[in-house]
This record gives sequence, C-alpha cells and structure tokens, in this order.
Amino acid sequence: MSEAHQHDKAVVGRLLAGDELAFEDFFASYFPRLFRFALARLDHDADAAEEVVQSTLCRAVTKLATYRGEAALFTWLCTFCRHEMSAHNLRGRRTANDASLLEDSPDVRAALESLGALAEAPDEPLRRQELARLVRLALECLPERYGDALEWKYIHELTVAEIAVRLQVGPKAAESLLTRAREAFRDAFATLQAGAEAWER
Amino acid sequence: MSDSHEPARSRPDEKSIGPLVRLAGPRQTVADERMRRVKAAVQAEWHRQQRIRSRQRALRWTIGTLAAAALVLVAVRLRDRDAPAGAPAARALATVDALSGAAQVISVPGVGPRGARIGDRLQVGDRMETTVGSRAALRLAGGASVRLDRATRLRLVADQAMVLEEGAVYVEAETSHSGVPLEIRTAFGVVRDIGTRFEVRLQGPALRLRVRQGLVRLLQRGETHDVRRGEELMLGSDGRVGRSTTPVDGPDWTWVRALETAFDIEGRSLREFLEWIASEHGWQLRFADRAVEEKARTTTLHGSIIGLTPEEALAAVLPTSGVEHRLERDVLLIRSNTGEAKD
Repeated sequence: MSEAHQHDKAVVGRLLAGDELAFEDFFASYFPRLFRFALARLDHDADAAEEVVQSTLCRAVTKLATYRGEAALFTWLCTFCRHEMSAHNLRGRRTANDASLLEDSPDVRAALESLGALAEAPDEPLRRQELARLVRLALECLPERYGDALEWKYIHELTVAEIAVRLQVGPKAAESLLTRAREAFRDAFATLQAGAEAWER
Repeated sequence: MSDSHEPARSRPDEKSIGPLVRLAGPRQTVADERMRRVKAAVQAEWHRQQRIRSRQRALRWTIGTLAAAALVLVAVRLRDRDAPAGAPAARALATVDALSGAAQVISVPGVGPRGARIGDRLQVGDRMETTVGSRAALRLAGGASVRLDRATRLRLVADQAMVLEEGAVYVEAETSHSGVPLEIRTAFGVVRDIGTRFEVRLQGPALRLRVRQGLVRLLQRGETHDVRRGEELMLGSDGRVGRSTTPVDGPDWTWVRALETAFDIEGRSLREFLEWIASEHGWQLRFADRAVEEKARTTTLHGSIIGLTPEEALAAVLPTSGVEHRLERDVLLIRSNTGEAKD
C-alpha cells in the first residue's frame, strides 16, 4: 500500500472513530474536488452536481468501514459518484454518455498531442481549449492543497511567503509543498497521457 | 524481458507547469451556501452512522461480557459449587461521547494506549489523554458530561470521581441522576459540584476554577471555598486563594463549544432545543410569559440544524415556531413574535 493510501486509510480510521476534526478535514478536502468532478460530467448543472455529490458522500460515510486503502480515497469516492451520476441520469432520462469521463474522451488524445507545442504559443483555439480541459482534469487528481498551491503560485502569482500564510505553514514547508504539488501534477498529467494512449489502442 | 504494452509517460517539464496551469485557469469555486447545505446533510448522516456503530459495539461488548460471565460461572461451578461468587465484572463509568482529533485511552493493568473511539466504555482506573491537537468528551454513567481540553490527562477512580492530572476539564453535572456529587480531584484539592457547570484548569503552579452556572465547592486542606456563577477562583500551590469575576460566555469558553455534540432536533420539543442551546452558552433560559413557555413545550421540531452555528440555528428554528429571542447579558429571553410579551 502506498504512503498516500496509508494516509487515506488513516483518515478513514479517524472518521470511523468519530473524530470531528477528521470530518472537517475530509469534507474540506474532498467536497470541492467531487463537486467539480460531477459538475464537469453533468453539463455544468450546479444543482444536479450538488444533489449527486451529497448522495455520494452520504453513501460513502455509510460504507467507510469497507474502504481498504487499495485505491486512493478520492478514486474510491469517484466510484460512488459515478453510480450516483448514473442514477441521476436515469431519473432525468439523460443519455449515459452525459456522464462519460473526460479521460475516456477521444478528444483527450488530440489535446495530449498538442502538449509539446504549449510552451511556445498554442494558437489554435480548439486545441487550447482541449488542453485546458486536460490540465483541469490533472489538477482534479491532486489533493486540494496541491491544487490550491499551484493555482496561487501560477495564476494569482503569490510569493512563497504569501502561500505559506494561506496554508498556515512556514515558508520552508510551503516551498516543499509546492515542489510536491509540481511533481504530483507532472505525474498526474503523465498518467492521463498513458491512459489516453491505452484508450487509443 | 517484458513485453508490456504500458504506454510511455510524457511528463511536462518544470517550465511548462506555469503556462499549463494558467491555460486551465482557476478551478471553479463552490458557493459557500451550497457547501454548507451538503456538509450539514453529510455530517448528519455521518453522525447517524456513528450512533449505529456505537450501538453495535455496545451490543457486541454486552454479548461478549455475558458470554465471558457464563464461562466464568460454569468454571466456578465445576471447581467448587460452594465457593463464593467472584468479583463482579468491571462496570463502565463513562463512555466516549465526542472526539476532536486523536485522543487515547490507557487501561490498567499495563495495557498500552489505544486510540479512543466514540462509544468506547471506560472503567475504573482507565485514563483518558488528549494531545495538543485533540479534545474529547465523556458521558458519565450518572449522566454528567466531562469535556477534556487539549493536552489533558484524566483518570477515572470511582463512580462520579476522577483525578485531573494535567490540563483542563469542563463539567456539566446537573443531569446527574445518581445523587452522588461529582468530584474532580487534583493535587491542589477536590472540586465538588453541586449541580452546575464549571471548568477546572491546572495552570502551572495553580488551579483555576471558573463557574458558569450553579455552585461549586472546593475542598482544600480542611478548608471549604464555595464558588458561584460568574466567579473565578485561583488556588496557588502555597495555598493562597484569589477570587475575581469571570464572564460566563465569550472567547474563554470557546473550546467547550468545539466539542458540542450535535443536537438532533427531529421530533424534539422547542423547549428541549432552547435548553440545549442555553446550556451550551452558559445562558439562562427565560420565557416572556406562560403562553410562550407552553408553546415551547408543545411545539415539535423537524429537520436538522447540524452544521449551523447556535446563532444560525436560533435564526432558523424560532421564526417557524412563532417565537423570537433576545439576548440580554446572559439571559436568553424567548417571547412571542406576534406582539409584545405579556407580564
């Protein structure tokens, strides 16, 4: 079991023990990610995403004891979320394709191919759009704090000291977290690429 | 040699990360209101699951104890039918009622610490420990509630008696059904409740006792000190006693609320809800007239206030019940919202 999965298992252990602080951390960490996960797959219908994610998390807390740490907790939650989205789509008579995952999309392949040219100047709007979707997907795979740190660093252009304040840690810890976030992002992106290539075959 | 079809991974280089993240733009934020709604629902379900698990654990414990007792009984009968009955099985003095962070239970004799869980049953000699990042609440068999602040060590020594070895506890003892006064024993003296809510804190070389409601008696080297609502007593290791007034609500009491057990309003009366919220704040509950009091007694609530602050809960519940509140110093006054209250 990986270190990250062990951490996830410890989180679940604390939830099972009734630790209120653990619940706060769990909700703050996973709700936004699951919400965005559902939103992207429900035609950006925020009310539908809210309903689905609420059902997902309520179902997950009843099944916590079955979590074995074999997959990341977020992946485990996404499994419930997919079921809830299917049920939601059936109720609303939407097509099953509506809930298909971005990483399953054939467009992902094309987006990946455009990655190499990104650093220069991607000037083709569609490719840029698809690439942006892929990056968002990669960001969604990261722990919430990693996503926050990367966003603060590269979009809001905060300094490490400012990020440290927001993360409520020291500058060294913030720098270290940023390094881990960059690494995790690169891995997530590479994993998505591998998945897309496998899908192609 | 592997013939794996594992696709090659192409990791973006360091310089590409910034442009990539900027290209994607900020992630979509979730409206606070939406987040709060979902959190309240999920937290309510999580609490419900806790209660179910706690009941299941208690049932397993009971079955296990009964089975063990049956085995002991058989063994004793086989050995000597005339032998006197053995010592009764240790009885639970308290149950872990709430946790915030990781707390530990240390049982005697010689068993290593174990992570505390909601519903754990503590017996004579058990010690509960919180860390600098955790808090815990115990429910005593007599009904009283004892909340442990951070970095606290508390040992159960008898029915209604415990030794505070380090840190601070907040006691809510008016619900005690046993008639035996609850005692907090410390190196400085014994704090005995007389139906009240109070905090005992070991602060370096001194003991601080603050009373939020009712009356507390401190017994120390043959001397008795009574401390009343809104009073604070400091007792030094040299035996010196200092007294002052203290607010019964506000920042100094915030830690107590961190362990607030969620109040499930579904099917409960408005009066029960008001009594709970007043007790959590150290407020005195008062009704403007008998009609309002009767309304509070007979009004049944539905829904959930989990996830709401006490102020938000009051704002959500009272208008639908036809009453309103006013907070005057530490008195929560409830009156009809259809007109002026009668005397």
